[in-house]
Amino acid sequence: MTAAAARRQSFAVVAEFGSAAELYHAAERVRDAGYRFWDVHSPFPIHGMNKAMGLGKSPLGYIIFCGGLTGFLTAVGLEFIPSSILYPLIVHGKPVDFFTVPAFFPIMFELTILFSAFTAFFGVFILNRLPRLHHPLFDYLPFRRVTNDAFFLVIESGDPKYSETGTRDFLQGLGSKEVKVIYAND
Amino acid sequence: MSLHSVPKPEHFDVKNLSRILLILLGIGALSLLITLVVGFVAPPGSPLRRQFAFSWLFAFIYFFTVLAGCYFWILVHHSTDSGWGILVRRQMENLAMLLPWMVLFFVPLFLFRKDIWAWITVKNQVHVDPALEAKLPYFEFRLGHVVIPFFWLRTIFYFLYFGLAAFYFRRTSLRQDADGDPRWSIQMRGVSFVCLLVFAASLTAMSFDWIASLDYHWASTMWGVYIFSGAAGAGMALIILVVVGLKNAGYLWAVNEEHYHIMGKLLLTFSIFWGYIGFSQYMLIWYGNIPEETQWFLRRNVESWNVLSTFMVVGRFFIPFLYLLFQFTKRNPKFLSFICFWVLAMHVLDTYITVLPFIHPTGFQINILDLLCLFAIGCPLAFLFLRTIGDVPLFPARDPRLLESVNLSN
Repeated sequence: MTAAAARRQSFAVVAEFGSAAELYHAAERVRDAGYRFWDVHSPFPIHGMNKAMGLGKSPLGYIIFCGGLTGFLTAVGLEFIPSSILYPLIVHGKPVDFFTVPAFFPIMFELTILFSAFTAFFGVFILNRLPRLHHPLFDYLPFRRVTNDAFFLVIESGDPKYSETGTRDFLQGLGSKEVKVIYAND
Repeated sequence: MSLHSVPKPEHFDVKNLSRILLILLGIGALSLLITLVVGFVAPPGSPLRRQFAFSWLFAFIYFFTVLAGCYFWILVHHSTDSGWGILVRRQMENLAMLLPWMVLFFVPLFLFRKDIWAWITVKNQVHVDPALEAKLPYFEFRLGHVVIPFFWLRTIFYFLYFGLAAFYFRRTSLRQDADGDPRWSIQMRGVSFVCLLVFAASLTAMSFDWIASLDYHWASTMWGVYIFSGAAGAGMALIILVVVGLKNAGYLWAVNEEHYHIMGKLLLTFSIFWGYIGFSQYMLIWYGNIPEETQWFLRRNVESWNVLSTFMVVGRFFIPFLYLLFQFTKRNPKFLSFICFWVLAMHVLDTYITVLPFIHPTGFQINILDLLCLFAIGCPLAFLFLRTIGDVPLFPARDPRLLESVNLSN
C-alpha cells in the first residue's frame, strides 16, 4: 500500500439490492446487527421501512405544533391588542371585547396554518441538514440509478461498529448484488 | 412484520349474546310502548304531544344521520379504491343495512307531521306567510292544475335510495365472498361514484326537508354540509366502536393499531371539518346580521341554550381535535374508543340543539321523553344489528386486496 492510498479515508460501504423487498429485509438485519449511522435509498417510499430500520418517531410533529401555536398566539396578539385595547372601534355594531372573536377566527386559522407550514418546511431542511451541495455518494456513479430502478443500503464510516472489511463482508452476506467501498475524495 | 397468509373467514357467534339481546329488546319495547302511548294519548295541540313529536324527531334525526355517515364511508372506501379498510368494510355495510329499518321509525313523524312541520298547517290558512308563499314551490310541485306534495315524494326517495344502495353494497360484497371474482370490486367502485353524487344531493335535501323546514323563514346555504359533517364524523366513531367491540370479543384478529390509526385520523379530519363548516356558517350569518338568518342562532344563543351551544363548540371540536392530535390516542383502542363515545355523545347534543329549541324557546328543558325516544329507536336498532351480524362473515374474506389491508402500515 502506498502512502497516498493509506491517507484515503473510506466514507461508506454501499450495497445494491435488486428489489424493495430485499432492501426491506436487509434493513431489518442491519438494524438487528446494531449499526447506527446508516441509511437506505430507493426510488419510492417503502411502507414500513421506518420500522424495518428501527427509526424512532420524528420530532417534527412537536416542532410544528410549537410553530402553529406561535402563529395562533401571534394572531391573537395582533388582533386583540389593537382592536380591543389600543383603538377600540365599533364596526357594524359588533362588540370590541372578547365576543368579537368570530371575526378574528379566520386570521387565527390562517396564521396557525402559515406558521405550521413554514415550520414544517424549514424544519425538514434543518433536521436533514439541508441545503448540502455535494455528497460523497454522488461520486459513485451507479448510485445515480437510485432515482430510477436501484435500491441501495449505505453504512457510513462514522458508525462505531464500522470496519472496512467487516462491514463489507456483512453486507455481502445479506444477498446484495454488489458491495462497494466509497472513498470521500474519489 | 408482514403476513403472507390470507385470514380465514370469521363468523360471529350470536349464542353468547342472548342475554344482551333480551335486555335490548326489553328496554326497546318498553320505551317504544311508553313514548307511543304518551304521544297518542296526549290531546291534539297539547304541549305534551308536541314534546313527544319533537323528541321523536330528535332521536330519529340522530340515528338517521349516524347511519347515513356509516353508509358514506362505504362510498368513500369504494370510490377512492382504498385497500386499507377491507377488514372493517363489512361492519360499515352491516351498519348501513340498518338504514332501511329507519322507515319504520319515520311512521310516527308522518302521523305527527302537523305538530312538527309548521308550514303544513300554515299553508292552508287564508293569510299565507309571504316567506312561505315564496318557498312553497320547494315543498309542493305544481304540474298544470295538480299539486303534487313534493316533500313526501322526496322522503320516499330518500328511503328508497338509502335502503337500496345499502342493500346493493352488502349483497355485492357477499357475492364476492361466494365466488371471489374481482369484477365485483370494480363494479362497486363504478356504482359508488354515482351513489356519492346522489348521497350529497339527498342528504342536503333531507337536512332542509326534515330539519331546516322546522323554521321555514331561515336560509343557509351551508346547512346541508353542516349536517353531513356531523354525520360523517359520528358514523366513523360508531364504526370504530363496533370494530373495537368485535376485536375485544375475540374476533377480527387481523385488525391492528394501523387500522385504528387510519380510522382515528379520519375521525380527527371530520372533527376539524365539522368545526370549519359550523364556524363558517355561524360567522357569515353573524357578520351579515340579516334578521331572517340570525333568528336561527338567536334562538340557540338565548338563556340556557347559550351554555349548551358554547359547550358544543368546545366538546364537538376543540376536545376531539386536541385529543386526536397525538399518535398514541389514535393507535390505542382504549383511548380511541373513549373519544368515539365522546363524539357520539356530542352528536346527541348537536342534534338536540338543532331540533329542540323550537319547542323550548326560553331555555332547554330536558324531558324524559327525549331519553326514552333515544332508547325507543336505538335499542331496536342495536338489537337488529347484533341479531344479524352473525349471518354474514365478519370481513370480506375473498376480496382481492384483503392482504393489502392485513399488511397495512401507516
